[in-house]
Amino acid sequence: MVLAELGGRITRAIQQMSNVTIIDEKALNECLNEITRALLQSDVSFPLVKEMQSNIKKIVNLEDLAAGHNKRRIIEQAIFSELCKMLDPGKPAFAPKKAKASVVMFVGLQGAGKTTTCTKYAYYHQKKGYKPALVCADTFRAGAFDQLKQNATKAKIPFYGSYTESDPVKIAVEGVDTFKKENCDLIIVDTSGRHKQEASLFEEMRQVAEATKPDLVIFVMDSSIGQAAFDQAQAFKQSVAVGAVIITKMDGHAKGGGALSAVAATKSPVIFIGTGEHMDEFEVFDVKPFVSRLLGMGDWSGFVDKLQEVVPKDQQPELLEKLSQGNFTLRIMYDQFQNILNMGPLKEVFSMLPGISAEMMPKGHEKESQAKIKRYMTMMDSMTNDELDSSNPKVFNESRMMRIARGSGRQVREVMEMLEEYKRLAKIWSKMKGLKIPKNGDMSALSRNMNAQHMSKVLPPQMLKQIGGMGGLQSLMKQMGSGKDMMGMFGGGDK
Amino acid sequence: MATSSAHLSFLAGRISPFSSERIGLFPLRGEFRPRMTRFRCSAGPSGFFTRLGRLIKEKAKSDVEKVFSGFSKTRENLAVIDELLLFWNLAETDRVLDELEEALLVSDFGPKITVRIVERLREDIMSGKLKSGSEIKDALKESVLEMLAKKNSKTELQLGFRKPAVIMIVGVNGGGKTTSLGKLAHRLKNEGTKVLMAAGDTFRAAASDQLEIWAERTGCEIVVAEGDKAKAATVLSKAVKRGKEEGYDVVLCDTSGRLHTNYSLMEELIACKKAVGKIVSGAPNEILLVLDGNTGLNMLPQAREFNEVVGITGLILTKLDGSARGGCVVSVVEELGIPVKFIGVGEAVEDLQPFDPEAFVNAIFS
Repeated sequence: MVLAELGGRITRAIQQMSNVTIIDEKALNECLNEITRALLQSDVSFPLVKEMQSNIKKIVNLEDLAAGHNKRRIIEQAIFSELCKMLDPGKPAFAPKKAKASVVMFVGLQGAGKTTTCTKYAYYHQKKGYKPALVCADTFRAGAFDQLKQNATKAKIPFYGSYTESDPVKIAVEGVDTFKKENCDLIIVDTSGRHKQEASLFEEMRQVAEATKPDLVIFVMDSSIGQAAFDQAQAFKQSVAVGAVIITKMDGHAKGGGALSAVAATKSPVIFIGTGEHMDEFEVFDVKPFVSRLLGMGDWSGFVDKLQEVVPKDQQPELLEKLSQGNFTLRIMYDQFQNILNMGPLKEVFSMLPGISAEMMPKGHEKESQAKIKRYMTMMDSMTNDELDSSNPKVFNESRMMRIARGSGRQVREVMEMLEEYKRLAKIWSKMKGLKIPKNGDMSALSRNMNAQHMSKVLPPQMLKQIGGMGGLQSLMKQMGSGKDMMGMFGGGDK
Repeated sequence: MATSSAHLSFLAGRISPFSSERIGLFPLRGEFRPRMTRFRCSAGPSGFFTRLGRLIKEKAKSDVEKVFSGFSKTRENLAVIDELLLFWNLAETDRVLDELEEALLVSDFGPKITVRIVERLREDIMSGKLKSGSEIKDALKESVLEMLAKKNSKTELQLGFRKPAVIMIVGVNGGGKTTSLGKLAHRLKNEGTKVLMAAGDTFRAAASDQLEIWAERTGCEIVVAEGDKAKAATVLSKAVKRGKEEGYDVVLCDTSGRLHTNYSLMEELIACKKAVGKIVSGAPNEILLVLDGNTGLNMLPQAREFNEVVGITGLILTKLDGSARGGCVVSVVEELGIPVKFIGVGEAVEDLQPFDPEAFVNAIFS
């Protein structure tokens, strides 16, 4: 995910400090210097980084006087809260109400993605029952109205604009009035891109805001913006009452540090992030889960929500029984793959697990992994029940593999690859055999009985190291002890 | 005369149908002696693009003033350098260098390159080479200029000798590709070039409409996709064919914006390049990557990825009329060796300037 590298570097800085026997000021400074470099490398505004560094030192010193121990935890929490503070101005953005007309105005630099974002915003609310409309007040850029028109037509959203009128204030007013009469409850005004050095254009923007009296002004910015972010965002804030921020192009591995700067400059919350060109690639933004994932702390609530969505409760006792017998069949592998696909994009799921950052997954390979899983499932659809339920891979002779390959339209080599994967997972599965099974068969009860020693044999060495070794695994299982578990992920968890 | 010889040598290097897309070393003069006569005979038509490149370069001088006015914000940030150096003395070396470091970071130079510059200055100060504030400032400029200028030998458009010359404009979404293409068409047309535009962005809503408006503004012909499902490679192929048949001098190919991390779209870009190369040998002559000057340190991975996929021959740095610093382009030029060919400094059709590294550096640090 975006910011993965930043999160990885900060996490490593904290871990290196954890390896020090005594945490003194020198160790803290080294950790903070590394974090500072990571933030600057991610285009976070320089003044913000300095301020954050000094804030953390104050917090740590104060806490140190009071507590005198557990400095590691205190420092980690200080970093977490400072990053959250950067992103969360502490007040919510205006939320439009249904059946009551609200005007939302979009502003930002040229090329930030305002027009695409306008349509996504409208589409998102349309799906939630609003009646949105789009007004194109961009009379400057070549093709702007055509772009909005095509996007709106595709999404079936009413729009207003003009090829001949060159006064954006006039178009905005007429558009808003028209849609108010038509009882639209979310009227979105798209404006042309501009920057703070274009004083006349800023005046024009202010006039549009004055004429339409928007309930919310949204500043749209590109996640790849550099140190200019703070100044530009501040200038927009000073001209119009920016009330929210949307960050675009978060699918491009940009560091996104400029986003942090824009939030600080406008003192407005990030409400959405855009993650692609299509209308549904648009996500609500939550600060704490975001920073938590960034730092590799995981996002348990999000993860368990997804898990419980896709693993039917009636399946759990059966899964436990198979687990205790140590039998791993292709049917089980198929079910696990199905669960994984239902949970959404692989990297998103994995980033919710603590200690497992997106860095573990090679960049750009998420879709390939997903495609690979789908291919495996296609091949398994061509298997007989005997083959699916057998735990003996020797059942698969050459003629069976040929039949499976023909039936699924894949090559024999791919069938063999899948079987190798199955054998590898079966090995992992067999190590679970000795687990003590609780009487009531409840999944949450099971997790309490697992011990770190046993689990360490099951997990691949790479993942174990990533979590933080035995200590990390123990604290991980402690967190799991509150009734949450990873059962659904076994079998495919190390994908 | 020397210039003329150099150009003839360059043209000679293009004779081979298997020549690389990248600009190679000039071949040894002796190896091509028998062919020199032939090329001298055809100097008329083949010299056309050479003259065009020279004309564009000369026009740059009269456009320098615009560049300066575009860097006002960057100048504000770096005015701190003047203030620091005015009161400089040896005892305050560490403090001064720390603050220089800060000024560079705030101008999007990025931590790695900033540390390198500052450490070099520190060494020179300690060894006694730099003794005054103005000397430090000059050394600072020299450091940045060295990184930019040493690999910028080909800042003119290299359009080869076959007609039509093909230029592809690529880059991420929202960088200003279509606008840059329109401006470039305007410049070329003003020099008497017959220009054909190709609307190769078949993905983004209204992209062809945008380019058609630019075609209208600049008085150029344009080839657009027929139907909604046309492939970009098909459109570009058709455009280059038409350019060849109807005797156009240059075909400017627009492409859709794509994030450098999107594998399948980057594959599509390769297909576009191949399609063009089939129609005219050696095409595309230039593949220009448009970089938004507001971009921070992500500029380098963008450039790296596009270069690996299609082989970038030049950069266009856009939106330098705002508070964009463009400092990251130093890293791009330094690591990848790709020259900056143009900078965009505004919205008007004339706001595209050939890149002058010295003016760029002076504008940043003046």
